[in-house]
Amino acid sequence: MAKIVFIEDEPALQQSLGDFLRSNGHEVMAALNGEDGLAMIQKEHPDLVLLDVILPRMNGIEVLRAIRNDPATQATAVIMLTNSEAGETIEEAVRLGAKAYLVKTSYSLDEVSEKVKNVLGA
Amino acid sequence: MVYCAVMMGNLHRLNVIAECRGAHLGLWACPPFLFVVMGIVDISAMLGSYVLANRYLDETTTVLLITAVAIFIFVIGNFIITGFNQIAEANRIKNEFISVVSHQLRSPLSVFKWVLDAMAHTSVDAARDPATQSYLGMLRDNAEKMIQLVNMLLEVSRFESGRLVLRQDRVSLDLVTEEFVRSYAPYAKAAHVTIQFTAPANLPPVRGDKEKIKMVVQNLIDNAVRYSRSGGQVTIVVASLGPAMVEWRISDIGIGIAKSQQRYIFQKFFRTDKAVQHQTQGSGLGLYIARSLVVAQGGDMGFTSEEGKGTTFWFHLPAYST
Repeated sequence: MAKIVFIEDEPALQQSLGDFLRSNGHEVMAALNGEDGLAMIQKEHPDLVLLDVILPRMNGIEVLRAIRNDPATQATAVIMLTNSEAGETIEEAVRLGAKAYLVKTSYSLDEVSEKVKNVLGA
Repeated sequence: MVYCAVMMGNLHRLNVIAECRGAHLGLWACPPFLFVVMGIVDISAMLGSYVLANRYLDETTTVLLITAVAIFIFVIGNFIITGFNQIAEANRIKNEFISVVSHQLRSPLSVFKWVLDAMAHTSVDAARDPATQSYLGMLRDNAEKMIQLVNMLLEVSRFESGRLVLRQDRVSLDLVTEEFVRSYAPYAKAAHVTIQFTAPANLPPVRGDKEKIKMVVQNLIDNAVRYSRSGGQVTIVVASLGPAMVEWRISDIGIGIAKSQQRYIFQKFFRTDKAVQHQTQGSGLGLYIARSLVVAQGGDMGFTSEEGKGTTFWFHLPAYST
């Protein structure tokens, strides 16, 4: 179906959501930190990026900014997937064109998958 | 009689030493105690200076005496300000602490949530066994309860540190209510409570943050069902209250709230004796948050209740005017 890069530093979350999306037919590639994630995006040109905010080496907002600043990747759809709800982070993500800002504890795997479907379908 | 009761109620507050001990404050860092000391010093200084100056002292000594008294009052005033600063600082640290702990708790909780989700969806036979699925269900329910509690603590911390950001949406209270009543139906059925909801067709929308208003509605419905009697009915009525306000009102036939506990009902962490006896769940934060959210959005919240008969909670929110 779609090619997704999932940048998340918690292996358990990466495995649970990654496997779930794979079982729905998506191709999911995972990165454990912002730098590796950005390199992966530049190499693979995914349809969608699932992006955590608090990440080692390069945080989610920095990754999002880098995606937008690179003409080759700037149109990539991005969903922020995080547990941090700082007002300024949300505003910045929205300003940088994130399609959605999801709080992980508030979304089940089914609900995340539904959002992914909506964003890919749009 | 009422006056006496109020006086007695206030009298115990005059015991400042007990109050300071209760707050774990040293006497010289405790503003209520320092205020009393300052009051006594003020009065005696004025009377003493007057008497001394009139009877015994020449002008220079009077000036010196008054200067000494002024310095003394200044020093005590300084203690009071330091005391207040320490309390403000402690409050800030407490908010910070709640915020940090809650955020830290969210990471492992999201792992529980998603891993349990994944196990519930798995195709591995061992995990699909009914007993295993039922255990997984229990874990999920409890992870969900912890997530709710952490969310409430974060809401309180955002509120108290002034970091609450409220949107100005155009919200249909009737749709928000209807939606939640529908999703809540299985719980209400399990509790043998029916929910009746009425709203006029031409109900004006209100102005506020949709997600926060949802929280308020959910909390009040959940409370009404939880403290209803089996076989009881919960009635929700939404209607215009004049041209500028909309009223949302929920009544239950339930255990009610004792008169003596009614004035504490919106306090943080407060749970009535009855609530503690009847329900293991409940943090005592729901109503505090609900009322704070409504007030922050230009509305108001209140209730009437009779023990053993039932309770009516209401809130008002400003109508959305274009």
